[in-house]
Formats: sequence, structure tokens, C-alpha cells
Amino acid sequence: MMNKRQIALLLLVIMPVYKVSTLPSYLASVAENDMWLSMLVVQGLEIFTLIPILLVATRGGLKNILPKFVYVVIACICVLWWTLRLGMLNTDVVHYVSKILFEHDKRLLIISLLMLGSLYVASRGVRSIGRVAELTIYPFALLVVVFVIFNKGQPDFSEILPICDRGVSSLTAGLNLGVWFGDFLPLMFLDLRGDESSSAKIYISVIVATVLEVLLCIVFIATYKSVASSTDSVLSRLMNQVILSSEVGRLDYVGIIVWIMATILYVSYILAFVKKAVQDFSNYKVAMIVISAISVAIVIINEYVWTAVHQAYATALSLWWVAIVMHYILPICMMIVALRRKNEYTLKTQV
Amino acid sequence: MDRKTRVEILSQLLGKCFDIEVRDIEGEKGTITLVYADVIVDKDILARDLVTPLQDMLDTTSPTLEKVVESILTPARITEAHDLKEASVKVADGSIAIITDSGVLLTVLKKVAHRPVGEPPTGTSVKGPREGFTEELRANVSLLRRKLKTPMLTLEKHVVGKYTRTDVVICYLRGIADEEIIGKVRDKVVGIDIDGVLDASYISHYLEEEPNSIFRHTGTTEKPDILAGKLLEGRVAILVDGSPIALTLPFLFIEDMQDGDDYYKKDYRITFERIIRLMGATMAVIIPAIYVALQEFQYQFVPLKFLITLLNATSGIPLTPTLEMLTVLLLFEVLNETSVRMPKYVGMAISVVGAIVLGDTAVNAGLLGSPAVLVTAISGIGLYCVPDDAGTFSLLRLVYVCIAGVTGIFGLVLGVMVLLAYLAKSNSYGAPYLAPYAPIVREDLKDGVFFAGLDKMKFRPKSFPHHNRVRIGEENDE
Repeated sequence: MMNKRQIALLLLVIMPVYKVSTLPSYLASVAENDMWLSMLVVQGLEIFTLIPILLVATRGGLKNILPKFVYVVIACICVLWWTLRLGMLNTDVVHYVSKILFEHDKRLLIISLLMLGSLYVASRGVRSIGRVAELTIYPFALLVVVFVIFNKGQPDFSEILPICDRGVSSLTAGLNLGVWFGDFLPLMFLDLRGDESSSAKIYISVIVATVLEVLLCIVFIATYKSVASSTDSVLSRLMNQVILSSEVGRLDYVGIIVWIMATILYVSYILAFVKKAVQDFSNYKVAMIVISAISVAIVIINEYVWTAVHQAYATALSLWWVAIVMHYILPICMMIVALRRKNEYTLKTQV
Repeated sequence: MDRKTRVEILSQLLGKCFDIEVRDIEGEKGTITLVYADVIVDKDILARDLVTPLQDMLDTTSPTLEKVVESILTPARITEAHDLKEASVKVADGSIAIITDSGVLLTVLKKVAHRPVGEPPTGTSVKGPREGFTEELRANVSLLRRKLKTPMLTLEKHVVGKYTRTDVVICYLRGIADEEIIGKVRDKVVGIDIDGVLDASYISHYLEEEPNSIFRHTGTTEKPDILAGKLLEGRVAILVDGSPIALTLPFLFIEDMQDGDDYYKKDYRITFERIIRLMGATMAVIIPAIYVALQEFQYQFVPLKFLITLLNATSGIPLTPTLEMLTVLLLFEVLNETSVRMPKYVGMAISVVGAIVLGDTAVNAGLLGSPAVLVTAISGIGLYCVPDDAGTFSLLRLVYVCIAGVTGIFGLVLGVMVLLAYLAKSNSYGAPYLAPYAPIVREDLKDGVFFAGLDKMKFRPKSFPHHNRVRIGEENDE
């Protein structure tokens, strides 16, 4: 099973995946120069959900705190939710990768390959995902170094002023979409009882990822304030700042390659936890059938349902309450169950 | 059963072999018959230690088994054969059967022609020891014993192969190697049911826990110093009679980046060389695919000046970049295969002529672009940064070229992730294949790509199970 260090590194790599593609431009459209604050709020709330989720995991995960029937129901709900969510988020990825890497529309090829590759990675299990995350951290670090060293952008940081001039609405403006970007829910299915090391490293990595995302938003708004809300890919825009075409080639591709790696890891992470959740109440074969079906479903969703990013976002905005239930209410409820189970166990042993 | 009947049956069991000698030693008190394979027995010692003393004995006393054992001078062990079938097997293996009316005794006076100890071709050393294993098991064991003068060195002998009856020795340091790993290796060796074992690679197939893996899961070395080092780390080794290759288990991928000579150099130099090896291997696998992806889809990636040069060099090539690269790579594979198989005196000519004629002529004729030949050459050189994995890497680069030709950089990145996931799950006798990097084993990173120095490696590798962790300091007791 994955250990806490692997979780920390995995989250560091995957947290920015979907948040640095189109979310900042949406936040810029609703919160303008305060979009980085809006991102901070979205991330802050997400970190808050990590507390109950880790508590559940350290108590043995959902499998150990819930009766089997309830576990099956919750696992099935989570599987459906992740299918919907991956379908929605991948619309953005497919659109962006097709546009930046190919001359012609290759969306079907990209989503098919993405799901096929991720399906294989996920089939190797949660432990392998953790190990791959440990290797992916090196190119991730390279990306940060390239961005810092070769950046030729000229951000005007006065563009972020005045801060919070529209009051609380600046902070909450992006929440209706931001709530979809919670990444920690699958961790509730982990059993971390065997790992007695400190959970602090997970919180630290999540905070580092948050700082990176918020800094990226600040640089983005400081560089592209006037066109921020109409930018379809923030990563592409910002990495364009490190282009040195006539000297060492387009270094923005380093960013794109690392981002693709992280995306594959993210999709694999979700599928691997679907496999684990299903396997906990059935067997390997059924679990593989389920994740294969999800992969096919996501390909269909991206090819026929949400063919454009705005369509996916429109659905996401109308279903914001589902995201709140899944990412915020469910973990808190599970934490309460975990705490009650602990108390019951303590009482029984005392008797 | 009398002596004559025994000799007759034994001769029948051994069949019609020109080298099987049946020799009677007659004296006043009786006769003894020696049966042995003429070609693998030391005849001088046979005459001195066996024939002469037996002759003397037969003049004074009748040949009982006890008397025969007393009179023989040989330091080799003398055992009594339980039956004639066992005697025939031993004679075929080089033993001498001493047949009397009261039973059959067996002793060994083997003398086999073998290659002298020399520098192994697969592990040349600049500053380290130059001796290498040979095909003679006993010589190999003696080389190992010279490095590890401890009673904790254990050498378990097993016989494998119905017809070859090859000696297979499991070596480990008692008190350091993990019993579970030793047990697993022993079970696998004992369980091998095969007609013949001609080389260590036969055993290696049976020892691998993932036999279908494209990557090897068994370490190999021809050098006693490297083998001693691996045993000191807590690994288990297998020596096979007739093979100069020693197998080591568990095996980690990082071992391919290490070299026996590493430990005789300065620390910073070792780190540099390991980075170069890793880069070379990565380049070998990825560069042809990147070239194809850039040519087919992502040409914006290439710096402008380089792109212009590239376009000039590839304009007019009738093949697509993918087909062009596959052609050059396959030609390289053919040349490589030929240079290995050809007799030495024409091998050099073929490889040079092949490279010049094929490459140059194809480029001049406009069939292939010079960048593709250059990329293949760079990749080919890179392959041999990690020579033990050259076969696997050369296959992988062909696969990646195909992927890149259809899906560009995106597919290539996906392919790399799939490979990482594939390797991340692999284990070798309880050791994660990609340790100490995935999972991170902090202590073992000191001997990873970055080398911290021998004096800093206080503990044995933690990536695989063993006992007695401390290598340096007072706690390091036998």
C-alpha cells in the first residue's frame, strides 16, 4: 500500500494538474485581479477536507469503519462521481493537448490513449502509483527550475492591486467551480494504519502545491491581466514566457511534457482507487472490468457529450452542490463515523 | 555378486565409450578392477596414489573394502557406492570405481582442462582487480574464498540436470544473507527439472520471479571482487560449473548503473560516471523516438537554426521519418548481430564496411537522411553505457519509435509512464526493482546515482532484506 511519503509526493505532483489549465482563467473572469485570492480560498477549503480524509485513512479507511453494505453504496457513488469528474476535467486536457501538440484535431486519439495508458498504470495498483509519483517528482522539480531560470516574462505586480476591493465576493466568486477540483477523496479508501510516520509531510506538500498554484495565479494575472479571462490554458501562456526558440528550443515543452506526465498520473490515481474500492468488495477481475468501463465511458463523454470546455464547465457549474456533498460533506460524515467507531471500540475493550 | 559380474554390469551401464578404461590390478592375494573415464582422470596421481599402493596391498593381503581404504594414499574422499547405477553416474562424472569382490568404492582424481584465470571480457578494470571467473567451479570457489576468508561463507552444492549433472553452488554469508531469500533460491534450484544445464543462464531462467519480464531480474558478474561485494551486502550468489558467470540475487535496476570499478575511484568521479551511464541509457531509448516525434508532429520544439539544418538534410527523403528511423535502427540491429556472430577476422571488416558503405551510400543516394543515421549512432553508443541491458533497451527504442511515429510526444510520454509503472511493480526476491528511488530508501541513496563514499556507507543496503545491518563500526560483528 502507498505510504505517507508517497502520498505527499503524489499530491504535490497531481494537485496542480487541472488547476493550472483553465481554472485560473475562469477565476479571472469572476474575481478579476483577486483571482489568486479566490484560488487561495478554493485551495484552503480543499486542505481543510484533508483533515477528515486523513483521519479516516489512519483509522483503517472506509472499508474498516463502515459496514459492508454502506461501504459498497459509498464506493459505487464515489465511482460514479469520479467518472463524471474525470469526464469533465479531461475535456480541458484533451482540448489543450490537441491544440498545442497537433496541427489537426486529435481529441479522440488523445483521450483514447490517455485512458488506455492510465488504465494500464492503474492496473499495476495503488502502490505502483505511489512509486511512480516518487520518480515523477524529478521532472516536476526540473519544470519549476526551468520556469524560474528561463523566465523572460515581465509581470507587473501592481496589477493585482487593490486587493479584495470587492469584499467577500472576491474570495467566494470561484467556489461554484472550484469545489469540483478536490483531489483527496480517493485517499479515504486507503488504510494507513501500518504507516506510523507523521502525516505532517502530507500537509507540507499540499501547502507547497497550494503556494505554487497561488504564485502561478499571481504571475498570470500580473502578466496577462487584460486577457486573463479569455486565456484557454494558463500553463501554455505562462510557459510561453520561457521560449528561447532560436537558442535552446522551446522550453515550454518541458512544462507541457511534465504536465502530461502529471495528468496521466492523476487519471491513473483515480482509476487505481476505483479498482481498489471495487476490489475491496468483489475481486480483481470485476475491478478491472469496472475501470475499463469507466475508461470507455470517459472516452465517449469526451467525444460525444462534452466536446467543448465551456459545455463541461456549464454542467459543472450547475452541479456545484454535488461536488460540495462529495468533497466536503462526505469526508466530514466519514470522519464522524470513524471517531464514533473508535469510541465504540474503546468502550467495548473497557468492558 | 562377485567382482567380475560387477565389472560386467558397470561396463554395460556405461555403454560403449572409447574413453572408459577397465583395468585389473592383480596380486598374489587377489584382483581389483578400476573403472574410470580415461580423459578426465589425472593418470600420474592415479599411478602414484592408487595403482601402486593397491598392487602392494594385493601382494600381502586379500582385498577387503577396509584394507583398500587403508592402503590408498589419495587425499580425496573415498565413499562406498550403494549400487552400480550410482557408480556408473559417478564414473561418468570423473570418479574412479574401485571394484572388489566385497563391494565398490569411489574416489575422485579428476583433471579437467580449463582456461587459466584472466581478465573477463565483460568486466575490464582500470584500477581494480583483473582476475575473473573461469568455467571451472573449483577455481571460481577458490577465487571467492581468497576474497572472503571467513567461516561465515557458505557454499551449498546441488546437482542439476539429468544428463549434465552440473554442480550448482549457492553462496552466501551466514548471518548476513536473509534466510527467506536463501530458502527461496534453494527451493528453486532444487526444483529445477531439466535434462541439462550448460551455463548459468539456464539457472537464471528458473530463478527469476518474473520470467516474462523484458528486464532481467538476476544480476551477473564475472569478477570475484564484485561477487564478494554483493555477498557482503547480503545478497545470495549462484555459481555454476562450466560457466564463468556468477548470478546474484536480489537484483535491482540501479545495479546496472553501478560498475565494479566504481568503488576504486574518487567519489565525485563515480557520481559523474553514473549520471553519464543513466543519460546514455535514457538517450539510447528515447532519442530516436523524440527525433521521429519532432519530425512528424512537434517540429516547433526544435530551435530555429537547428530546424533549418534538419529540413535541409531531410528534404527529398522518400521515406516518412518513422519508416526512415525504423530502417536505420533495423540495419543497426543487423550489423550488430552480424558483428557478434561473424568470425573475429572478418567481424571488424564487416562492421566497418557495413557502417561506412550502408550509412554513407544510403545518405548519398538520398534514401536516408544523415540526421537519422547520426541519431541511431548516438543511440547505439548510448546502449553500451549499460551493456547488460543493451538487448532490452534496443527493443524498447524500436517500440518507442513506433509509438512516437503515430502519436508524437504525447504517446511517448505515455509510453514512458507505462514503463515506469511496469517497473515500479516489479520485485526481485522482496526487493522493489526500482529501489532506492521508487520507493525511496534514503540510506541506500548513498550508493545510487550519487555516490557518497565508502566511508559514508555505514549500513548494508536496506532495499532488500538481510541481517546484521551495520557495515562499519563496533556493531559489525560476525
